[in-house]
Amino acid sequence: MSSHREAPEISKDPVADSTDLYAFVTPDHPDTVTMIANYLPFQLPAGGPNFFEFGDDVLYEIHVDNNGDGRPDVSFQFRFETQVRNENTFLYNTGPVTSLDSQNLNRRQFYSVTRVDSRGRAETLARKVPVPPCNIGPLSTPNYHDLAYKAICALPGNRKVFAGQRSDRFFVDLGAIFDLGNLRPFQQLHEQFGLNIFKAPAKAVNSLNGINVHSIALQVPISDLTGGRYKYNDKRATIGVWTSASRQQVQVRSGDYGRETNAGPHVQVSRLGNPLFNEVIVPMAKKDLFNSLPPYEDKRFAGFVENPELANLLPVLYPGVFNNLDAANKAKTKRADLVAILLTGIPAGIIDGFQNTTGSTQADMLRLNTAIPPAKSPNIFGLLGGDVAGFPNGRRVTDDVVSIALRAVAGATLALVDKGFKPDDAAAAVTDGLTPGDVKAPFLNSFPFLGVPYDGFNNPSA
Amino acid sequence: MRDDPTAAKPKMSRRKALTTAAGIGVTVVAAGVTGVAAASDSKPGNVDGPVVVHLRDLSSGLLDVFVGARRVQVRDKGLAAQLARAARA
Repeated sequence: MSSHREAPEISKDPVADSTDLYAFVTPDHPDTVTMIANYLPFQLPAGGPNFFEFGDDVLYEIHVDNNGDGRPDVSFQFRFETQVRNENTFLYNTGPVTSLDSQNLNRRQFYSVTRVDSRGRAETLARKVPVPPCNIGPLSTPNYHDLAYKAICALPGNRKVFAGQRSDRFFVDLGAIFDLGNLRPFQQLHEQFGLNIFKAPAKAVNSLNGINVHSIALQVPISDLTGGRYKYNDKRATIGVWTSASRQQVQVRSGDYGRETNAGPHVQVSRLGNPLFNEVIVPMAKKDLFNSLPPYEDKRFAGFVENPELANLLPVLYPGVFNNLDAANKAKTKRADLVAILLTGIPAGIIDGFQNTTGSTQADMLRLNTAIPPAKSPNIFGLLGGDVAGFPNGRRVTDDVVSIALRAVAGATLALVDKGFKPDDAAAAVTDGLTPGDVKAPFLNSFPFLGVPYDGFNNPSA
Repeated sequence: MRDDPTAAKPKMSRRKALTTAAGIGVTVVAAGVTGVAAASDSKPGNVDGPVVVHLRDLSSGLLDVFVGARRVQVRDKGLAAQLARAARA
């Protein structure tokens, strides 16, 4: 997946597990950037009676680098606190919840927002902002859209924030991809290890349909992140974004939740910049290490980007389909295209009218050129579809990052830096077969953009 | 990751460390953790919360003291010996 359960250790700690990160120039407020960090994967909507919530003992952050050194220049920190109204009931809610301060909502969560600058100076932007409850069903959470809308909080400095449950916007055919890369639309071309099960193409299935996540969405003026407004060809217009979750180094459990002792500095346990980086690029033995490191340490992962395992697998799994890629692999061609996309940004002169380089420091960050205005007609294939406002120039909620990544790894972008390379025809067509239309919950046209979470009553099973 | 710079920066006496360690117990955690925030490791302050002590090396008296959002490294053979005796009790 994008980053759901992508590393061995964090897969056992879902509350701190970042799943997706989005960053884009806001279509309805183009002087701002919207950043969304999702956590807590694979929420079955009916998963009560203790429904999903952020971790009170987790420090969630969204970081922005604006000078290309892979270090945060602006960080937004989110700390959560849970309160229980009535400790003598097992119920999450004791009646319909129609307001954020409803007496019927028994378990409430609040959070603070703190902005930290590059010198470590902290400014608390808000305290005790309410998190809406999970979407339970028509009796418990009638008119959920309006209820959650009230949880959008205006912050000083023309910023706004939302934290709470949302429908997972990521779309991917996990069942196919993790069954040895058997993409259903091309399954008849798969090597099949001699089993010869699949004779014809099949329609893809969105494994995350009906699944919720918890989102932290933040909208801030561009100048809050860059220190000014710059033209697209000015390096200062490009920011690098990533999210992290950290826990304090020591926890002494008491056996009674809420009475444990947490002490010491925070240790980073989850990190996410570009979708699929830790998931697909980093080998299993180094995934936990990746999650613990800051982006400026990512030079140590550059070799896995230059020679990605998936690029070597495609010609093996689909014999005769990726012959040119196979030849490039055998020639030990270093994938400078992927290094640019994932670690340094795309320099000027590669794509007309576009660049999002942050310099020579290799760092996995979601790079966004804030001077590129939102597209009037977004293309789900982003830059590969000729839409410079889409991934890998930031990431919008409708971008088909699975197909973009598959195509890039398959060689579609190698010709940008290696004029002698001719991509295989399949490199422009390979996909897991899904589009944003395969997500049941529609996305929103305005903040926080991710759709209303699926409720448990109407989505009793995934 | 950066800790909240506005958080309390506790200061701890040897007596306080010993008292708290005896009360909570000697906690042993893995050393050499990567990704630990270092910015607030060395700033002194007041102790107003639980203190957890990790006796890393008895022979050299190396201790990690965790308090608030800080980790303080202490080298004190006498204190280390006292903690070891408490742990054996």
